[in-house]
Amino acid sequence: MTVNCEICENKYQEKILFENEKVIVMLAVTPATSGHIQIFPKNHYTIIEQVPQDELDYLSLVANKLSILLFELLKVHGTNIIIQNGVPAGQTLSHFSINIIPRRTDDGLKLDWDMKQATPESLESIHRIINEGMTLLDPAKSQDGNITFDAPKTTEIIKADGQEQAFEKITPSISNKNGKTNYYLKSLERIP
Amino acid sequence: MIMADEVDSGSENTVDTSNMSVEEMNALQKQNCIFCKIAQKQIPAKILHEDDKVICILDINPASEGHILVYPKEHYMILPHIPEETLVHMFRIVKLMSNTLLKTVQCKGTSIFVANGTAAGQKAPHVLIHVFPRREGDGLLELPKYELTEDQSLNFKKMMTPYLNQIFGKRNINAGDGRDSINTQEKSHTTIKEDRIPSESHTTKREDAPKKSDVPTPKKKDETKDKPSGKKGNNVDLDDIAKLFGA
Repeated sequence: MTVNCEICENKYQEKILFENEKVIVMLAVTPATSGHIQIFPKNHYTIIEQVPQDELDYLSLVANKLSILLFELLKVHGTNIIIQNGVPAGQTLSHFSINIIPRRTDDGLKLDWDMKQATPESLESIHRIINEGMTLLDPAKSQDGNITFDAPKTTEIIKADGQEQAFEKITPSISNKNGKTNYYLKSLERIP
Repeated sequence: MIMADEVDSGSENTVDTSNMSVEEMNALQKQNCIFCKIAQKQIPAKILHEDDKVICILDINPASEGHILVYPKEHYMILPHIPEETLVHMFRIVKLMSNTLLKTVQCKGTSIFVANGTAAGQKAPHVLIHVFPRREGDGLLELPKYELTEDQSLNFKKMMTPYLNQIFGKRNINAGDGRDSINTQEKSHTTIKEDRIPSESHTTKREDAPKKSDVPTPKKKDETKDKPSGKKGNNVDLDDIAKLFGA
């Protein structure tokens, strides 16, 4: 229980759709469209970097499943999955959450940005900056131990995944039976 | 040669796609997919990370400087098509990329954005997770406020609860038409529950969760807190970003 957290203090009880020991699913506190839902880890974290790997895995699976559910249940044309990570990103609650926003073609939401082409020079320079930073962040290379980096190294991820092959592959539920309109296909067709 | 290419692509555009299966659709799109070509190194890009499943590149049309695209090397159209193990892996890489951005680029937040379908603003036929740096007042991804009425809320609750219960593996009396698709998904959740989260006990004591030794990933958050802030320098402390709420 974290003090000053509206989610931990259960201030939006009436919005909760589902809750178990790991996750809280609720109607968005400030919805962007009708049917906007928000997924919170039960434990208190503020940003994605703090969410432990196993909990993030679970949340990402839940997010995808709920996005599928909204497709099918609300018959929408698309979904956005948005994580507002930090105040400048628009995060308003101190509790980490994943937003699932159902989209209709005429909902008037504009989440695009200017499609300005970056110059090769600016790409080159930002690429260098990030790459150098990643090398520094690599725990194996930081001798002083000052830099904390709780995400696993790439090699570890691969290994870990090798061991986790056990868990089932699920094909998405694309059902054409019963003459039901297939919203996936619809959305596929629209893509240039 | 150029002419032949143009004729080819022209004829592909006019192919009637309405009766195509997802597989056929995928095959067609894969042929022309720029992101597949980048993954296969046929088109150059600024690659930041690459492993057997996922590749991260810099977006050439960035929303902000340092805009990263995380995507599976295999061609999938939308997130629901991605196998679960790849999906989970992608989000791990997203976390890594977000962390990297917070610590390397001058920013105090990141946006993580997925668009499923053109109605949601998807522009490429390959599923992409966008991770980009955010700064105060940059005006990106501003979500409007939608006024949901009491009735609408209640309706959503009524409509979704049985399905949510099914997804999470709880039997519900009002379960309506039991759909096969969601039942299969329910199965996978049970698997995950057993495989990945061996201890259920930490839910009762939230404060202890990060310190628990039986959590697979060792957490270093607490260490960061204990250390004096003398080490800072250029290093952005994640806790600072999390603490912007003043809570």
